[in-house]
Amino acid sequence: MNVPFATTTRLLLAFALSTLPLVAGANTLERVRSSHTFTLGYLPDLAPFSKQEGDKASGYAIDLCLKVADKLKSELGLPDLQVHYQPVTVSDQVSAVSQGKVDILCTPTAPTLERRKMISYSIPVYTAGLSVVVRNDAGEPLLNVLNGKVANAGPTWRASINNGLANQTYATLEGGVTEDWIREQMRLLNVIASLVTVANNDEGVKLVSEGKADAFFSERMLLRNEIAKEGADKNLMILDRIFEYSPVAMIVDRNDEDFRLLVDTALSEAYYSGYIEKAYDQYLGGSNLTVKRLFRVYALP
Amino acid sequence: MADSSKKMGLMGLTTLVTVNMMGSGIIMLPTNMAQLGAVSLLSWIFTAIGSMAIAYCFAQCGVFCPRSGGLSAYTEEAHSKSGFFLCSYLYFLSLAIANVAVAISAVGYMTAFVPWLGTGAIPLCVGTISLIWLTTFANFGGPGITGKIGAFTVWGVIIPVAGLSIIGWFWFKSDVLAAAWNPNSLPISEAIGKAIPLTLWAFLGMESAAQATDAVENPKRNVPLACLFGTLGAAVVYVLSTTVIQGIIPNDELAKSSAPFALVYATMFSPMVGNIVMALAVMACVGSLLGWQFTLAQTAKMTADQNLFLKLFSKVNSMNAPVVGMIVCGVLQTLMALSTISPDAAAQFSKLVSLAAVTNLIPYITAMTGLLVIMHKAGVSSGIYSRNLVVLLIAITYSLYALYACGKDAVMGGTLVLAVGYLLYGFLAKRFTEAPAANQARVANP
Repeated sequence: MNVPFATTTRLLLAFALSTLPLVAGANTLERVRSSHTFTLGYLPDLAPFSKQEGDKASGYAIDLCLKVADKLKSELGLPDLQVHYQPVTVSDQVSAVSQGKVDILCTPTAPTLERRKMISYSIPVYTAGLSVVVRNDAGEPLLNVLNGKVANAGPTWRASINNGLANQTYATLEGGVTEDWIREQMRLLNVIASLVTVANNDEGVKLVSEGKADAFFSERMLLRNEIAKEGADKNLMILDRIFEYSPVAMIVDRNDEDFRLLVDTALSEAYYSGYIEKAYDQYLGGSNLTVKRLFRVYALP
Repeated sequence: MADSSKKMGLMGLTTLVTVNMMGSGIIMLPTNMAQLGAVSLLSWIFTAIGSMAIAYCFAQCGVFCPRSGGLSAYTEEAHSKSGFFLCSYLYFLSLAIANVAVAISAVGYMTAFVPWLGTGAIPLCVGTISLIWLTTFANFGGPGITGKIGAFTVWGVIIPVAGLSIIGWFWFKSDVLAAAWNPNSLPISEAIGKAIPLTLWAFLGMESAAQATDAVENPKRNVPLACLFGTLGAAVVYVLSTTVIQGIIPNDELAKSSAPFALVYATMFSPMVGNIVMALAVMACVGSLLGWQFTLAQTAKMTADQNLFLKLFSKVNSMNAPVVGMIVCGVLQTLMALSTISPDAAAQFSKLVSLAAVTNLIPYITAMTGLLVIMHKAGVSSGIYSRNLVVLLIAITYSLYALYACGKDAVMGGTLVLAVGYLLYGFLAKRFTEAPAANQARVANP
């Protein structure tokens, strides 16, 4: 490689890099403007957040994305903007946005540093909560432990009944952070339990319902939905306690601050106008004081 | 009164005390302690000293007041007849409830061998009731037979638990213990604070020697000695076994074992040996239930002898066993066991078990405070008096702490039960009061 060529390359690169934000900045908005379509990416089976309905979709996250579409119409002056619904899979949800196949991923996901290397995020649209489902006939010691209390509050003496605690089986999604968290908790709570992992929520809920596991940990809304779907709610219940919180957001292109600003503006307005609270009522079983406080934390002034 | 051959000797009484104390509690203790780490062993320093102080006070009561009646008799010395009644009443309730709980635990451990027992609430209930009646009938043979059965079932504790305290050291590795020291990296004071509740009530039961006064040969000598030796023996075995086990089984495994003693023997020898040890532990658990059912009947009998419980509790058969009272207790306990079929009632029953610890501890305090009067009456030298006073204050402090640590729900329930006891005594009190002006005969003890 000779010197002049290298210099040229570097110059070209420098130019390319300096113009990149400009080019990319125009990317999503330009694409929408020129095609008159706004393509929403979503996971088709993640009700109540996003669910496929023919060639359309519905759910909490879809409604919020439609708010973004409204914002695009008014900002870009495109009253005839078409909305396309594009289902994506978990494995290509990130690349779908980074490669421009969809303009936004509506189904909220948890931001991680690793993902941020490829894509960017809107402000949070929901706070995921780790919750647990048990059978209705779960014993008091198990409920106490899961509610963060000592299994048997009374004295430990010769008459303490031990067998209520022995050999509980907990289940959680494979490879999640939950797994380590539960192992840590089991030690501190005087519980003798084993942990099994399952591939999806469906399987986990089934294990508990059939009595093969005593508790299944997963996201609260997904659990609710799973139980409603199964029609298995007769013998199952979700505890009110949330073990861990994690704000989740929509994925947008990484190098597109203009579009991201538009998305965040639309979402913040939805927070302030009470639109999100209504969507909570409609899809997520209503909000509470903590959730409403978080609305104010997430919305940008 | 039956002749002395039907009574219990020092060995029988000492084993009764030890087995009663360890009962079903020891089976899970290593697991519970391992969850906090080996640092929890330090809590024994506190609880073993406190418990020995209580045992010493009971022994001193027994030396200077060898009358029948156990804790209630010691209580009467300071708190008169109403004290006697309340002490018996609270203690009787405590045992009646706790014994059902011990039976439930024993059935729980039996599921390893009879899986059917673990298939639901009904099998558990059937198992519990069968066990209650089995141990009730076994007591019909009188104190001599109970002592002999106890001397046999005690091997269920001696072989696995006491045996481990001796032979376990050949498998002991200090680095395993060191690694298990503080797995949660808690500050030492916090770790000990969390561990104390695991061992705080482990010595409840040391009073069973005094409760058996009526059924013991030479009670003036044997009751105090059995109380001290039984408690000391339990303390030594508790400390050694829970220490050595943490140096054999890595902490991770031990902390999630539902049968730690079986696990350690399976590790040292073979899984087969582990199963035998589990069977022995169940046997010891049943043996301790037998001992407790005996103590329950004895407590009722002694109180009825004082004209404070229904007379039927004091009727003994030719073998010196209060059979009618035993059957009444069995019926009462069957009702309690039946109520646990529904999950809600089972939750209530576990509250009752906590309450039973409170109604076990209040008699400790009333009985030990009796020592002050007992010593005064016996005219002990000032040296002995001051020595005993110091130990007494330690023992009372420990008991009060144990009472406090039962938690506000249990203490509240216990207090309500105590208040009801005063009502009951109100009906009985006239039996011990001189009739007014007319100066009729005392309606007291016939």
